[in-house]
Amino acid sequence: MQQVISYLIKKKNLLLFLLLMVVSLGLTIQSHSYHKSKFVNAANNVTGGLYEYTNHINEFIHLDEYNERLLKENAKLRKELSNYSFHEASDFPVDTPYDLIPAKLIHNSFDKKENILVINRGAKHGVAPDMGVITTNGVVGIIESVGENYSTVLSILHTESRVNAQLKKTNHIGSLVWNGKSIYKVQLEDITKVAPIQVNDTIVTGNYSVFPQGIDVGIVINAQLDQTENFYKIDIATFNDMSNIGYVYVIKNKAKKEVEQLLNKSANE
Amino acid sequence: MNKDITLRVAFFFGMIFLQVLLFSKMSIQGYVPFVYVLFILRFPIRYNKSLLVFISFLLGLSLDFFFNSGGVHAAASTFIAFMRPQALRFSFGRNYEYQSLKLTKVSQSSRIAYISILVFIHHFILFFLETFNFNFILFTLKSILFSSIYTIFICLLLINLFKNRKE
Repeated sequence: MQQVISYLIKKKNLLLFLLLMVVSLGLTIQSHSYHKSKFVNAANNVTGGLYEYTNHINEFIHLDEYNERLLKENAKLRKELSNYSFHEASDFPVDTPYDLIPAKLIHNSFDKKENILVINRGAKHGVAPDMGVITTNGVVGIIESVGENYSTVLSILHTESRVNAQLKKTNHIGSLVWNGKSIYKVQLEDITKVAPIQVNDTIVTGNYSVFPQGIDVGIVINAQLDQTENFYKIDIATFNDMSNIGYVYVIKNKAKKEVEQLLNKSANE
Repeated sequence: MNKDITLRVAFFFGMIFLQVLLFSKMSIQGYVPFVYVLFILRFPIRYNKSLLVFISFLLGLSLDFFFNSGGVHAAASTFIAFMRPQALRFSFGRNYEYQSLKLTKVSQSSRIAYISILVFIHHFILFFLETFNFNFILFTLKSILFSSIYTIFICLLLINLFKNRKE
């Protein structure tokens, strides 16, 4: 017994090393498995606070650019509004099923294969996991972990990310994935070969995703049939420059709870 | 002694902040230097080895929180902290423990050897665990090579920069 103990004491460095190595490998494997509540993330007050603090400098430099983007968005919205008020009865109350939570991207990442971003809104502001994140130009990603004041976003530039998307002109749906090669290109899979797809077609989000139908994604730059010749393999140039995002909107689907309850109910019957 | 510990603690947090705020933004063509390993490289030899392994784990884990990367920095840092005595013996000879070794006072070639070995092992583990996918093996190997060269360059620069402070 004494020998065992003295052996353990002699090898305490190795044992400590092995223990810590197992812990860190465990955390690594957990971080690579999609959709699990992760222990190590930047949605806490310490890391989020530091990112937000340093983001002020970055924001100051890009102020002109952000203003210009806002002006453009305002102009676009005004134009749509003027069309709207002519055609629709304006006193009719419109109840949209979606709420938008404006947020600021405080940590961007695009040079890895599994990119995760941080925004400065959390559970306190109504953000919850699996909500969609967009900019004026298009899709950014899906909320992953939520802290009190900060949240992490699974970027569309993440090799495990899947977003339901469709052709704008027809209703052929597929899933949006990323092959990890270029930050300006994402891929659309599972579009059947009967779809009338052409270069420069617009791709938008589909009906079965966390996003509302019809949010812009990008345009088709290359479409080829895959080996089985049943589905297309499509390269899409994103409208968003993922290396330059700035402000985003988190989409809160008010009907989501009800839909989930209905689905659970019908699954139980 | 007390002042030494205070300095070490300051160096620990200083390295985390510099890595997050400065070195991570210094990417060239997407290759980022991970200069925080300098803390592990410069840890005094007279201190307990288990202490270094544990502190390196904490250092790596802190950076994992910032980079949303699970435990990849923790794993890589813990591994090089454990391997450090072997690297020291290889670079500075068998009896490095009896000399009061200072990184700023040894010859340039053995210093480069010591830094290169550990930085390369660190980046090797780091990028393989981070990508975790053999489909991207070429990308991973390229990242390991170029990021290692970048990190080694900045580490040597920093060591040479703060060389003559006490002399």
